[in-house]
Amino acid sequence: MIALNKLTTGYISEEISKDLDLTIEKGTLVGVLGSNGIGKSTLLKTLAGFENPLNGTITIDGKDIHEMSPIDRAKNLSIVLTERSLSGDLLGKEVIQLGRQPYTNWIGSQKAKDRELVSETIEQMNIGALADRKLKTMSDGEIQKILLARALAQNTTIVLLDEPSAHLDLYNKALLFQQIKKIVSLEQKTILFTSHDLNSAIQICDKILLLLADRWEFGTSDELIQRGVFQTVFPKETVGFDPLQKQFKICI
Amino acid sequence: MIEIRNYRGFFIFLIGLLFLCIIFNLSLGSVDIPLWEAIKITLGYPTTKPTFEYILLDYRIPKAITAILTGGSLGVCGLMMQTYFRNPLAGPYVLGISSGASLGVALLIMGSSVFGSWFASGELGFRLAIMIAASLGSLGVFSVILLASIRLNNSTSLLILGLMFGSFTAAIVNILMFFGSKEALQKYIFWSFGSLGNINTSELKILSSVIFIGLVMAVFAIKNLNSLLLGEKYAQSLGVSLKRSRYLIVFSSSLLAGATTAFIGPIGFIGLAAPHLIRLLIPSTRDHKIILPAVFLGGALLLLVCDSIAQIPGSASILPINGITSLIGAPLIILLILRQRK
Repeated sequence: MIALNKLTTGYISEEISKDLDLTIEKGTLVGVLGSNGIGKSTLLKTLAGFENPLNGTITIDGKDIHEMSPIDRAKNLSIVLTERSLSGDLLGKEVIQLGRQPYTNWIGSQKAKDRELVSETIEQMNIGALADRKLKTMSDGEIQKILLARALAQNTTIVLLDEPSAHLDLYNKALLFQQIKKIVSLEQKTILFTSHDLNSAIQICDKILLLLADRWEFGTSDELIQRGVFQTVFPKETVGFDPLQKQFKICI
Repeated sequence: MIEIRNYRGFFIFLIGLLFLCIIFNLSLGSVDIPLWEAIKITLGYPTTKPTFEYILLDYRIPKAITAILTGGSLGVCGLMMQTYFRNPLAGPYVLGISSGASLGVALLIMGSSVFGSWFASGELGFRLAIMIAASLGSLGVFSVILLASIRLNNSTSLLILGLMFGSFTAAIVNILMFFGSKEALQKYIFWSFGSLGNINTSELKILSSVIFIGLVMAVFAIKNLNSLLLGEKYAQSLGVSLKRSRYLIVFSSSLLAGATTAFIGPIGFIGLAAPHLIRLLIPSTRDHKIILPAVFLGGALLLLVCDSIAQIPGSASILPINGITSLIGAPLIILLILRQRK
């Protein structure tokens, strides 16, 4: 269970998201939605512990994540980022194995249990063919799978994904979301992902956190539709929302 | 990540090659010592030629050990810099530590020619003074870099800072050279050629202790270096404290680069080339548990080979080691890269 308690994120010069106050139960898929620049990534970075909150706290099962040691935090939270700063010479397998770093000794040797978990993850994600290939030879979709597998191998209750579908075509996006759904229901993990692809998110998320310029909304997609908040996301003359089809439409 | 035993064959090959190079290196020099005699004396067997024993034990063995330690340290230092800065062109020089040593030596040599000699005269006193000046120079730059790294937030800023320091110190050295006397210039240039043979047993003890500390720290940085292969943010999410790992890496590389430059002089290329050489030889892993010890052996091997070539087999003169390293190393790396592309 992860709780945001009166959380305000942003930078000293600028508050981005104000007074977020909500609780997310185990085994929930949460989409953090909003338009570009509204603060989705900043919220995710604050949740990951990279940034400090301006106000309020984030707790996992009652423990403040910004008070945890880096190792403890790494055992509770894993993340997949949009930035691709990875060394292209790494093998797929090596990236996934690095997910076990928080559990290994001072020099990072892997025990039988670590290796088992890594091969289970590779099997579960069906990426055996990628394991022995170098990252630089992979497509965006393939790298995304490797990174997701790495986050799973980290064996955390909470997984954060920053724009996981950003570089993917429709088919690969669908595959990825299926995979994510499966992980949430099978392993009772909480997955939070940011996206500006509202249509897909409405279709797959258990809960949606919608960030708007002056407020935030949290609930299931049906709840948010009933509250009529989707209609206020974009200017009516450009993008409209069809509550029956649960879809945003471009106004032509 | 990957089991070390999968690479046992590779390490046996490297160590075997290193031993061959050591024996070959020991037999070379202005006095021709047959290979067999060299092996016998090294292993402690009695010999009929006391001159050989004297040359080997007092001169060539310390020199070979110096070459191994220096080449290995520069390689490890280069590897850490390349991983930390995620830049294949990084090497021991990027933090400006070696330039600091050069500045120290330039100040000593040119300064004394301008302001009059103030250090102990005689060959021995001069060498000692050079080592102290080089150590102080690298220590000075190192302190500034370490202080700066406390304030800086990312590795790129640190990289730029280090390179700026390099340029700054090089500029001062240039100006000093402009005012320096002919003799001073000559002395400075000779120092900048680098020399492995100028080191006696007690100096070797100091050098190896400092390098030992640097290498132990490097070994403790292995886990962090592996996480850093994913980039700083991912490393952080894996429980790496970025500040702590930065201190560890900066401290360790400074000890390795500073000590070797202080005692041997600036040796180019090895630090850049050894990591590339090893990665080309074992492309199947980036795990520093494998790569780091392999790079130490690779750096040692490269410098030993270069030193053997610098002796010019069959002649009494010795070429400057700093020139040979690039002369031999650069074509080797080009060859390996071209072969890999096929």
